[in-house]
Amino acid sequence: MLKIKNASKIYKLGDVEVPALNDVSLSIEEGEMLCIMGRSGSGKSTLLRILGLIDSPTKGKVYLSGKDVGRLKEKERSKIRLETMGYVFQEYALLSELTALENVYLPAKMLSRWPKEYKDRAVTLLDAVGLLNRMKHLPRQLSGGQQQRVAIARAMVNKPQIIFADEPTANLDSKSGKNVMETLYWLNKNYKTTIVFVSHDEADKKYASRVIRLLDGRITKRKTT
Amino acid sequence: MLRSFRVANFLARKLVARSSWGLNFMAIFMIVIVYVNINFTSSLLNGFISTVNGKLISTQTGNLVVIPKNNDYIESSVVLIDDIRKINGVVGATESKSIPAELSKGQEKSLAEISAINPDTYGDVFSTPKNMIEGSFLDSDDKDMIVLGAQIAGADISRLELYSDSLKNVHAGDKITVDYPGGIKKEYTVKGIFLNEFFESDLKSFITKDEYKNVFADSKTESINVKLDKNVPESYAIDQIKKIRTDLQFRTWEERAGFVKGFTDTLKVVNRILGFAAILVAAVTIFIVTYVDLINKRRQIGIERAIGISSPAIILSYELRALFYTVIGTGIGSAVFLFVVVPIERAYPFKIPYGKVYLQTNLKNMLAYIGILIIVAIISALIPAWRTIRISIIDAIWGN
Repeated sequence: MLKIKNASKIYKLGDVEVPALNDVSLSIEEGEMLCIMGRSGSGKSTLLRILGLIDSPTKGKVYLSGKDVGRLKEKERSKIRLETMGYVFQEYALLSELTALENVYLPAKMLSRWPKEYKDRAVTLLDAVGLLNRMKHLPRQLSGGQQQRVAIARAMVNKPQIIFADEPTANLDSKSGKNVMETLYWLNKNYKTTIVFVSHDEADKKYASRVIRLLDGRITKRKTT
Repeated sequence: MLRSFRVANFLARKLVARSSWGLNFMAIFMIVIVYVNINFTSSLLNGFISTVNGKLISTQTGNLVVIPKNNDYIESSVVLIDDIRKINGVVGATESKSIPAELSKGQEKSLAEISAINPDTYGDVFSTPKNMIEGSFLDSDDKDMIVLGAQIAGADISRLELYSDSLKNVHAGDKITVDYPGGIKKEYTVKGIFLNEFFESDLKSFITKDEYKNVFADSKTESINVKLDKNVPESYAIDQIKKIRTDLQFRTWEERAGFVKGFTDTLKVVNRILGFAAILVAAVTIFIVTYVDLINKRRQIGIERAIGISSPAIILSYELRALFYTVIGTGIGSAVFLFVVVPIERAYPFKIPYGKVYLQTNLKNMLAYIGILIIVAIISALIPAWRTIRISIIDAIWGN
């Protein structure tokens, strides 16, 4: 469903070129739960951002359902992100002025015409991630783990084909981290949502159906669990 | 598009409702100050212009001056004045004839224009009879009596602009000598001294029409001054008088304004410059507030974009917020200006050499300033919002 072919990414820091990804090819199948592992600076977040159409490769192609989407204009990429993808960031990336419920249904408001429909869906998702009693709370009134679960519910609200999670447990204590990973795993199993997540925690690979490892911008290992 | 607007409206409402009240207060307070400042400056200068023009009309020209077209005098002026008074919207009409003369008392001499007037009708057009500081104004049967402007009499008021050229210490009841052209010399008793606080008219002196006739054996009318109701245009009165007589020509008070016109025209230009400067300050202030706020919200905007909120929706949300601040700010500013600033200024008006200056509010101007501030706010919010949107999502969320 999602594929990148010979993708490279070079960041420019003034006159210095810093390669972050080097000739990476990867195919992601529908319904799988892929874990991207690697040390800090190995290029795993860059790979996730390119897959998630937040960034473009310097070289190479990105295909979504057979269509080359790597070089689309921001407006079209934004539409694809809204309609087919969901994101969970490493930091608690909720909008501080919105309640948990409003954060969840905001992306749906861009797509759906009927408030009742998306509000009901947001409530269902908050219930699914165990935060029904926190839906009127602002992000600052929630713990880190609760905020990440709200972010997962938000990522799910438009029924995406694929969810990207960039080290979703990095800033959480082990109990909250486990809770977040189990929530993602549960979504993958129950909703058949494809999930691609980045982690540096070896304990997280048990949730994945496949693990790839990156080193210096190259895939070094591919393993199906 | 409609969905983008809906999302923008939703985000703007939440941005305002859940932002710090300090930020909201400061943003609105700033607009209030800017709006009151624009209106205050503009109204003060308009008030200044209005005071000067008002003095000109009420002490010097009336709204309209009727003069003969071909002769040196207006024929059958008494009948004409009666006819003019009957015109709808005419408050009063009075005739006059002026002659230059030299006035003296002892060693002090002063040049002045002496106007022969009809005291019975003069007060219908001019306020001078109400502005006596000594003695009283002329009566129609006064003979050998003269009324002097304070700038001629001096009256021991050394603060007067032309005191040094005046008779300096002439008071009501004093006798002065008047040298008319042609070697005619006559002594007059000063019946009263007036101070209009408008030095051009305070340079005048008055005798009665009959007194003039006694001196010169002539009672011809040189001009007729006409006072109109507040909302009656001069052009209407001119058209009506033209229907009565065709041997006349007309000068509006503006055409007779002389140096005052140059003065008020300059004030109008100053008013425009100050208004422009105030709007520029408003634009820069709104821009800075939005810009600083957007820098703090760069990551948040990056997240909104990453989750698929369209750029127009994000920009529009900041536009709507700026619009909200401007509408509320100008609303409060209008109330503060109309119900606080204006009443206080009315109670304690500014005093200038031409009299008291009252703030001259103009609803049309106030609405225009609201419109201008709204446009300024929209542009000032658009620029930083658009710049923030142009940053890549990566830089917005994870950049420095």
